[in-house]
Amino acid sequence: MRQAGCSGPAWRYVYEQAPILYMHLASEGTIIDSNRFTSERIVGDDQDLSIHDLVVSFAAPLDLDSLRRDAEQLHLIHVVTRNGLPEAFWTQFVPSGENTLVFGSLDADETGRLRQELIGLNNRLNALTRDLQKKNHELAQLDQLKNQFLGMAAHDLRKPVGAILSYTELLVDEASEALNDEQLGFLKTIYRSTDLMRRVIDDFLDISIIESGRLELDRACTPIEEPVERSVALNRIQADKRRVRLVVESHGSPPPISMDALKVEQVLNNLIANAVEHSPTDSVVHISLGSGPDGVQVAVSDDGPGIAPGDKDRLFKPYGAGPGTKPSGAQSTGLGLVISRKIIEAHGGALWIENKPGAGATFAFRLPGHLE
Amino acid sequence: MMIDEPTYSRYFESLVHGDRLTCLEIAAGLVESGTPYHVLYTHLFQRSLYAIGALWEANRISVAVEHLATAVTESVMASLYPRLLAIQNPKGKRAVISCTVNEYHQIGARMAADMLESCGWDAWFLGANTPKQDLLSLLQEKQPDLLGLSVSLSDNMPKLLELMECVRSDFPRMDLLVGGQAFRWVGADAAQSVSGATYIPSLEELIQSVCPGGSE
Repeated sequence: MRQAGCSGPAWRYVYEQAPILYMHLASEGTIIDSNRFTSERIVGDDQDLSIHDLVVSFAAPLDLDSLRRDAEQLHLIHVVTRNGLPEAFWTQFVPSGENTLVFGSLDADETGRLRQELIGLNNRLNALTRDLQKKNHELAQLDQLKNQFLGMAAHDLRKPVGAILSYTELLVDEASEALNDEQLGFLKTIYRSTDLMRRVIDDFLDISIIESGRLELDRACTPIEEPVERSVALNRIQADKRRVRLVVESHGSPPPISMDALKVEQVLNNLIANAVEHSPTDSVVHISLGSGPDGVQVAVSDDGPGIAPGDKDRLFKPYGAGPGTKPSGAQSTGLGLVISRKIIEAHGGALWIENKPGAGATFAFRLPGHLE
Repeated sequence: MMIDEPTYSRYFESLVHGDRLTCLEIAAGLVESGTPYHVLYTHLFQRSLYAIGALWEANRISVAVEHLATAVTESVMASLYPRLLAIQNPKGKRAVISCTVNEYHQIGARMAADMLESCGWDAWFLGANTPKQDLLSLLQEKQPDLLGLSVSLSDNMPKLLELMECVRSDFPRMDLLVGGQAFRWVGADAAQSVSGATYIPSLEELIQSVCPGGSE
């Protein structure tokens, strides 16, 4: 606070206690005196500050002469306070010789309305937050129940479907001579449909185990080449049918790492089978292996149409892609990539897409190199 | 299990100063160390808010500090609510808890809803200033076993009684509980004028009334 120019209890109150704006301005607007409220809230320790530095002027600058001529009139001005927020004051600019005395008060009605509104909004926010939390909890419980039912149903269906598959296969192999072409065709349709059903059940069982947090890894120290070679061998027949070449490129010699080799093979099967499915005839699918300080990395690249930008995130959401038909006409649950990513994440690694729409896609994963 | 005085004092000091993070840290620490929710609500939240109210009534703190303390408490409750929901002891009972129209003091009602939840009830909380028709529609939809109504300002008592008559007429078998600070001024008898309505003076009595075995 600057030097007080007046004395007496009323002025002392205005200077020391009153929550009102008071400034004594020199003719050009420099603040030469102010009360405690104004000093602490607005002016601070700045010397030679002008009223023009404090008032928020959106259009024309503050016209002191005009305000002084209207000394009886209350003027609404917005002043920048030390906490950075502008505050509204109803002010009077009273001439005192060449100088000006500025008196102002906060708009109590406005502050009251603002406080009431904030309380109301806070109440509403709290009630809605509680509602949202309760609904989230209910959804989590429903999701858990869904996984439980899915797991039970898939588990119970697996055995009879396996039996149908085995006996159909047996009939095709053993009784094909006794059947005519049409009957053999029926049996092959039964076999293909049942095989699809088995894969759907396996996916459902996997996803229910993963989502309920019960995925367990049977880790052993294994070279990454082992699951890669097995997976390439498994997918070679399908690739040959589509005249797609599978090329494995190893950069350096990746060290053996701790992994569940069967589960990693499941991931590779999914990525390579997808790449073959989406590759044009007479093209190449590259499977490249590498290693670095972070561990081992595998990338599967194709020359297919790539993935539309909007589809990228959906591919990794359970049931986000939805069931569909692959380019070859084969049915798919759309869960393969979700399962693959979860398996890699359970290893502490990451699986991602490097996508070039219209120019192929690369699905890559990294497994941390915990040597055993 | 009680909350020790140094912990309570530290929480109360933080609450008076509007220090939300320290309040949350203390309350979350108590939950993590196994303090049951009904103890947290009665011996920390309710006790500190009553103490804040007493300071306000004695002109020792401003109304802004009282509002800030309420907002901080509600924020702490909101942060801990998901953990309360994770308590698995379903009783298969449903409750709706609400304030009357024009009633903006909702924290007591919220505490009641959360306490019912900790007793294994499924409790919907409608919050402050709930229009009569909205409440009646929700009761029709949810068909709860219990409706709890809270009123803090005695000026809102006529609206409360009118609402209670309406509910009693539309849902004659629904349990009807009322509570709130307004009954300090008008007396518990006001509630008894509506048939079958029960006045519940405190959170402890609410827990005793709906969950004789205690909450989690």
